[in-house]
Amino acid sequence: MNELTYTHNATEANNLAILGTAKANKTNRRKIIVSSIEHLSVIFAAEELQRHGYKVVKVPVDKEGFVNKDFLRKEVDNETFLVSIAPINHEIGVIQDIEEINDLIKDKSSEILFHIDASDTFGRIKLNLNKVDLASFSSHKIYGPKGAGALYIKEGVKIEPIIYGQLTAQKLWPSLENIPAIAGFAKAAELITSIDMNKISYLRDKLIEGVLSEVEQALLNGPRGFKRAPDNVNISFLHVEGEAVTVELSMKGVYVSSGSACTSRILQPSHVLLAIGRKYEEAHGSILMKVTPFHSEDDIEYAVNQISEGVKRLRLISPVKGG
Amino acid sequence: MSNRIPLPYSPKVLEFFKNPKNLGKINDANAQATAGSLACGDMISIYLKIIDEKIVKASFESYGCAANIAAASIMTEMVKGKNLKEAWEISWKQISDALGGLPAVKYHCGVLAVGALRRAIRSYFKDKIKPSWLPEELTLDEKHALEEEKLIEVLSKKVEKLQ
Repeated sequence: MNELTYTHNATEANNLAILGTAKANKTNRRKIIVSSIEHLSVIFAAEELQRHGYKVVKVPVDKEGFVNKDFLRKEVDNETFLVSIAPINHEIGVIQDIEEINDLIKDKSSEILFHIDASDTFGRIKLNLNKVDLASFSSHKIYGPKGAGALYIKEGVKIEPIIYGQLTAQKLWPSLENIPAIAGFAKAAELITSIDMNKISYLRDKLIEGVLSEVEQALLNGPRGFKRAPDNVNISFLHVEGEAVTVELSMKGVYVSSGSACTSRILQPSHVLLAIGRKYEEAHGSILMKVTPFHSEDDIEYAVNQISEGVKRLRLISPVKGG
Repeated sequence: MSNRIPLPYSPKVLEFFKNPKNLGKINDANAQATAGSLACGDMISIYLKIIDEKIVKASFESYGCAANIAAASIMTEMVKGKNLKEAWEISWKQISDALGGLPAVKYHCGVLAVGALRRAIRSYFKDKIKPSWLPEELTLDEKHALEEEKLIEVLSKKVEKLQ
């Protein structure tokens, strides 16, 4: 069997990984373990299985986002069917020790499946697919076009399709493949290996240090240094609301996103930020930024200045002035 | 964060967000109120200077999204020069219309602005004889502000317990 199935995005790949393996599950194992900071397409797919007799356990994380391994060790047992933990978190960039987690799982039983959502990992850090059973990927996260994703399935893993239609080239995802996007995805996968991640992490630290020194009452979300994704910056600004910051910055040509409730269609702040212990108001004031190979030191300097000015202006509007 | 998208704001919302009118406290305000809370990510303070039951000055402060800031600002423009009964009758829909339409997910910003304004008007009559047009019972917009504040209190406590 071909080990790579193309989907249209990582959400589809995550759903196929979790729902598809559960469908093929002939064992009595009915426990799914995910970290509390997984992408919602992992959490919601796992929770969907609760309607079919599965139990979902969420592993807590510490203040920087590292999963609690003692908790995980206790929960992985002979009921456990699948564990899903992303090597790099999509919001706060925390890097988990995937090889150690894999050993911890497989020491208990080789029957337990280990899935990783590797969308934010590919190209950022070394990834050893021998150490996982299933891995999801996304084209646009490696600067490829939107509309292509993939699920790596190790040979021998039992999985069934979760959507049905005319049989096309792919048995597990029987819909028309988005060939132009997949071609772009393949090219991006080739190009990302030549990107100098040291330069990107240098710019990341410049952005973090710049913002934290220019803006008062700002909190870095996630860890510092080599345990943080080289391209991820996530900062909470107290007394301002993140959506307003994104709109303010977009008018200055700086495009960022926020974990604020106001940017979400369900008006709830980011579950990742709440899981690391941020208060509601700290999550509302959060901004997520990605440093890319297309950025220069001048861009970082410009962004730092705009963020500093933007947050200052919004703080003037705010009735909460802080101490 | 693929579920987090920039909203399609009207040019009027962006204009009031960029250059908000009537920003900041009024030193000689004789009515003021706040609605919403930090935890909601949604908070509006309204300041009014009232002479002979007529609003001569109105201003605001806002902690919230772009729509929240724009709604509070345009509302202070709308109430200036109005008597209190006229100001009381301003609806969130009128605020949304004045802004060229708010996205559906942002209607509550207009409602919160009205909630804050009505609280401010009530505060003005706190030690005075209440006029017949001022309802004893809280209106829907005021209840909404109250509900939002209570709901977030419950949610925050739940999260605290989990940690």
